[in-house]
Amino acid sequence: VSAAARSWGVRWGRAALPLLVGLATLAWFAYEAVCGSVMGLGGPNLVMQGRSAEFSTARLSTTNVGFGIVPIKAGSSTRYVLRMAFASGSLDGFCLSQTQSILGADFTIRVTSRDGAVDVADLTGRNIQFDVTSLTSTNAPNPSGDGIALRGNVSLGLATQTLTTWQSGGVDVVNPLDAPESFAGINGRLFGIDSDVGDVYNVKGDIYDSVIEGPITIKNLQLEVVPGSAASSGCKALPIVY
Amino acid sequence: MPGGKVDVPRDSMPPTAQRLVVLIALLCLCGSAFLWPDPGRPGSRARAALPACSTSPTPLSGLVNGNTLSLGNGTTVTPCIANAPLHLRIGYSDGATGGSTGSGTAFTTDGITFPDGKYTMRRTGCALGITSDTTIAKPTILKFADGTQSAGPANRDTFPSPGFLSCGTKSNVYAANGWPTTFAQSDDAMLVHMRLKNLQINRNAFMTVTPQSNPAAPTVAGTGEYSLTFAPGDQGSAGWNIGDSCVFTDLWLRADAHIKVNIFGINTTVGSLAGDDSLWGSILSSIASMNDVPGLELDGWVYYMNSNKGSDCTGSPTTLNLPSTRIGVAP
Repeated sequence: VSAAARSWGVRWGRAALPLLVGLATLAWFAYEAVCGSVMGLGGPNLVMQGRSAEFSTARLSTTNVGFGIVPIKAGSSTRYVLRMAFASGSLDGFCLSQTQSILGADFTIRVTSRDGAVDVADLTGRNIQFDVTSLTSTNAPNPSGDGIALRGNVSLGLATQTLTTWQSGGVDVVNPLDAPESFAGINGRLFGIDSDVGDVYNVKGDIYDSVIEGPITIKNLQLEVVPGSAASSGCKALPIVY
Repeated sequence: MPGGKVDVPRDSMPPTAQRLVVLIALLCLCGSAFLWPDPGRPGSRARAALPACSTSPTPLSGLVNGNTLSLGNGTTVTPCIANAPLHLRIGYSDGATGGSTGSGTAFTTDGITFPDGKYTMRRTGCALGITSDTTIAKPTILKFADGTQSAGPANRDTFPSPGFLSCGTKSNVYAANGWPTTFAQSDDAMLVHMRLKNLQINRNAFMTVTPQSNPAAPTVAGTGEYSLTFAPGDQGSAGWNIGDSCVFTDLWLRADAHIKVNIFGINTTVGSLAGDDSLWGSILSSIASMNDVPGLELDGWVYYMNSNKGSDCTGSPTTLNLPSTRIGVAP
């Protein structure tokens, strides 16, 4: 066999490792797709679904705010979260992290966007939603405010299905928080808050799902995979980014 | 090697196997493309039309009927209200049943009013000269999203006329007014419209939402599906600002709500605060017009709350500010 003929052959033995990695990746995507646990940039949107994660931001400014209790699937069971929905918004700093255990070792995937300047937007998008299970706020690092600050008319006690946030063709979209499409039983007992305008300052929290629809503008996007648990490497363990 | 067959190297597969692997790789690539995360919103799906929310309760003549509600700034709203009241507690040690935290001012407000006025329920006893009029803040009858309805006033016996020998046939208030009796009758559970202006909460405040099955008997645990809590991180100093000097807070809350303000030693429930003509005529009018009314305790189940800007507002004041607040959803 000549050397020229040998140069056209594929070293399948040597290619076995990357092939295995590719197949494993495919298997992981398949598993995550079936289990609904996904985090990443899906097309023009930022999507995270179905598994507990942490987030923080120094400020989220928006128009048309709706906070409402909705049921979500968490594994094989149903749990309730506070879906914080904003028609459009800009975030001064953004951190989203999720910890996974692989062969007994914890790894944290962390997405951050920040420029080090307070009150300057680092990420903008529309129809922003966070499914929150806990949230805390402070007065730093953004001195402009602390916690939830809603303006205009604010209603507390509305059924989540009737909240309004984003519009399509100049008309409020019906049930923009995707609450159950009935009012029977518990579906008629889903508490909601509606406001015209609002800001959320210096918050950290635990979330299950998040969506920021495109077109998204992100400054200094950083994607990291770091060894360590949420307690040491998650967004709640770090100073709030801005 | 022209005309010759290429020998397969020892570390390579036969051509057929190679083609098979390439085909598998291509299928993997295509499969991955289809399995890439759905860029849509979580649970996104075709939107079916929502059923209409129930907003028309069974009317009770003389009371405030329906879910068209008047606000402090002169506008009206027609909210679809969840049967998940907000248990608001100010001046207490916790959000459930803990006791009062003392005599320091826990909140201030520029006036407390009952804008729907009063309602006098006449009851005649079976004794000469005995008539019993009960004056209450005028209840509002609301329908909730789950189809339940808020309670009306308690039913009471009544007679056509007082007298020793003939009082007539005993009846009751509901029958006398032609009201239906298919829902709860309870002076405690009926809803009253209370309006505050420039509500400032200084300390020890809690808001807990729990879904309920029976508007006449909300409980701390509720139906148990979820609870949503709001609590300041520092109960001793951090406060909430639900308003501004030009902002009204309209509350529809149970009449058994307890309120204690440090004026004339008033320490009573909303229903009884509103339930005495002398209070209506004197003390209440004072509270309605005073600035910085110091409040010590407020404990009530709020079914609907609306913070709205008055016509004297300039700019865009904050109508609901919850600084240093812990929000939690359980379980």
